[in-house]
Amino acid sequence: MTNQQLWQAILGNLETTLSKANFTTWFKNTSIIERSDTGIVIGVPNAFTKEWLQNKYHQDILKAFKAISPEIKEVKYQIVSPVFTQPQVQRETTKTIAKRPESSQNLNPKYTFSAFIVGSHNQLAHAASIAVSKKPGSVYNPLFIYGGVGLGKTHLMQAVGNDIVKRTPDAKILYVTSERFTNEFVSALSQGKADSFKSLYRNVDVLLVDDIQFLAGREGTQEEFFHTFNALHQNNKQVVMTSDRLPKEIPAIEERLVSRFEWGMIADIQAPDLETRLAILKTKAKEKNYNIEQEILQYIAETIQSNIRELEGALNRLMVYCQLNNTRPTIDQVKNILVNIITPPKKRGVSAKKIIEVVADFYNVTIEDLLKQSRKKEYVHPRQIAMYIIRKELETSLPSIGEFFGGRDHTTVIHAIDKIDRIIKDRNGLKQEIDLIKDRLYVT
Amino acid sequence: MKLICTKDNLKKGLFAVSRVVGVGNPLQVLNNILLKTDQGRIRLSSTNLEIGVNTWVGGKIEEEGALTVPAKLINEYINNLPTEKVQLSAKDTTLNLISENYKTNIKGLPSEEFPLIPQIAEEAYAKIDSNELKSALSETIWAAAGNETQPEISGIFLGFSAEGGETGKLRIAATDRYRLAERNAQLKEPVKSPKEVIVPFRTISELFKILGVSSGELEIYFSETQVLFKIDETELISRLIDGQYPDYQQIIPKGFKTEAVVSREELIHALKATSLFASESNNIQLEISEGSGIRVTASSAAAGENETLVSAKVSGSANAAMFNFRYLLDCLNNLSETNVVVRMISDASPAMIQPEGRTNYVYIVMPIKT
Repeated sequence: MTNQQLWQAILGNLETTLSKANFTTWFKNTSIIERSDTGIVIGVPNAFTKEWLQNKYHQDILKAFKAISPEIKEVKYQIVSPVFTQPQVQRETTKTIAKRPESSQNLNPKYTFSAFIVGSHNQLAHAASIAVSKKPGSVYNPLFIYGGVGLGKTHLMQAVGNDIVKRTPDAKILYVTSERFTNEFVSALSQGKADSFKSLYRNVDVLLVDDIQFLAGREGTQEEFFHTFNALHQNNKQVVMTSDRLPKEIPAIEERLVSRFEWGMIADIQAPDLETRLAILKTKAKEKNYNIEQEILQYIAETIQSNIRELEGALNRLMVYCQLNNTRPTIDQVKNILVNIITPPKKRGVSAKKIIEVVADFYNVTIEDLLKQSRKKEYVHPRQIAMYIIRKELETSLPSIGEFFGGRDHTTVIHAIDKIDRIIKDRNGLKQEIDLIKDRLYVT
Repeated sequence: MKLICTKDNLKKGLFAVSRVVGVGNPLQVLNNILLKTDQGRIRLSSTNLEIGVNTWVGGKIEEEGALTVPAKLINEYINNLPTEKVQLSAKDTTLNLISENYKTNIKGLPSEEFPLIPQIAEEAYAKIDSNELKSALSETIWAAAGNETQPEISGIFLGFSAEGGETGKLRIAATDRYRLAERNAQLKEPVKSPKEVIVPFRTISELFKILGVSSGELEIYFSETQVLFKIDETELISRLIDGQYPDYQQIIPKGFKTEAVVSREELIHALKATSLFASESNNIQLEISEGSGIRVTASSAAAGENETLVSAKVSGSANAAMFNFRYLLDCLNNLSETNVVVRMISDASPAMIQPEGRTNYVYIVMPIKT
């Protein structure tokens, strides 16, 4: 048993005998810091806790050790302060007192084309970006990249910037999020510095605007952006924008802006396929010099399907866990570690039949009861719940749900779903009931 | 427990302990004050598990015992009593207070649940006059960083050194990275070995309040992770912040180009008037030149602009820089001298404020770059 496991076991034992408030107050941030054959030193966060454990809970703690690890005869307490300081960093802060470094480019050098993994889902966007970075302002202007969260829009856009800097180091490149564009515009207006704002944005060679959809509904900023855009476009300066949807689909944005966004090239990034996800994981693991079994990468790639950022997050989490515990993970451990980030393997293995089984079990009726023609109240409610869940979770068509439940009419199904929807709004308990059923559905 | 105590004694004791309670902690007893008979006196204790306070008040003890009662409730009740003497008695976990026509029962919790406040047994490390410490703290502690993202500078630095001749020296400093206040105070006697610690702001501010109603000598005790301040009948014990305080002395400039001696009051008035026209960022411009003294200006698009001339005795070259006026006022408001000395190097280097004719205090403030 490691120290951590031992202490967890002791805490589990103590927790049963103490009130929750007492337990959390006195055992928060405690750990075993030293362990010999017969003795233990417990690290506590402050002197109050030390006094209390020593004088009030010492017997309880000893008893718990006796039950779990009888060879321990002696328990001592020592104050350890939580480590959150790095002296070197502090020294630096004094030197840089009041200095706020301001880089106009804001480009992250980490984002380059060579670090970008190309697959069928992002081929078009990648090719367009390369073309733009080779001949800024002349091929696709503006370049509009859109796609879902965490798929690499910002990476591609910054790669364009970084690549242009590499080719022509004195090119003026400005990367802003539309949020920042708005803020700067507003503060420039309030300080009467609109001119300097205009000259800053209109005298760049390449303007990169991230998350342009946030301009939605900000009319003043949209107008300013419109003019900035025109000024740049007229002078053949490159503009690159990203968004999470098509220009047309951004709500509350002016028509004239939409048409300008659509002027040059619109490239989309889709969610990566399994092979690409695997390739991404392999590259990232290699980048971080981290040795990991193919099987585990495969598992991560299979379970996290839509978001590359999450993919990387999962890998990082795994790495930290292994470094902390100094182990190489098995596939079962990986499942445990990643259980929080991996969205439940949706719908997999869930069928209408399974749902009926779970519902029947939940309400303690038989499957036949649900399917047969009976209007007894104790059967009707579970039946309607089952229909509701099948519809919402599997999006099965209404007639086939009716068919499933012993050849009922599709209007019966409509009635059931409407009714449940209505009750959910009125009564919170039913929502919980349904969530419970869903949990059972996806856990087993 | 049964005892009789004057209201004033009780009030004084409650003043010292009633603020240090564990608000929001699930442990109910942390919201309470412990009342305990202790060798012919009454001990009042409170703690939030970071700071603990013990204070003793006199009274007539008839029966020994202990009980905890909610801090806020008893404090406000005693403060509102118009009578002179109070009889306190405990029955089970209820505290019964009788004072002339006022009778009340306060529900409490058993004293066994109250945390044990750690003790530091060793002998006093340093002694300092309470007025000296009070004045030193009043000139420094407000400069500490408010938030705790950087734990070191959220606290107050105390540096004890064996230097300083017969008396020993205590260096008190606070900074939030944009400004720094440092004061040297005299100890009663030299310390045996130098020591540098960081005390949480909350602890120092409690100490400051307690100093406000005390006089005489303050004793300071240390253990490895704790500090104990002891004055009159009150003890304040607290954890220390673990970490290395920034080596701030290297940012204090050695020489300046411009120096202006100016009336503190006049400069405060000028800053306050001008601050009305400072933009949202609180920026105002200070220009020092030999002919005109100190020119204080600010302008904002919304409000308009202002210019105030403050006469000053200037030596050195002309200089100008932009400052956050609050940072200047914080310092000026907490000094008591008639005149202060303002020193500058350039619009990008730290400026210094010192009271005229006193060298144990420096205030350094960074200009704002535009």
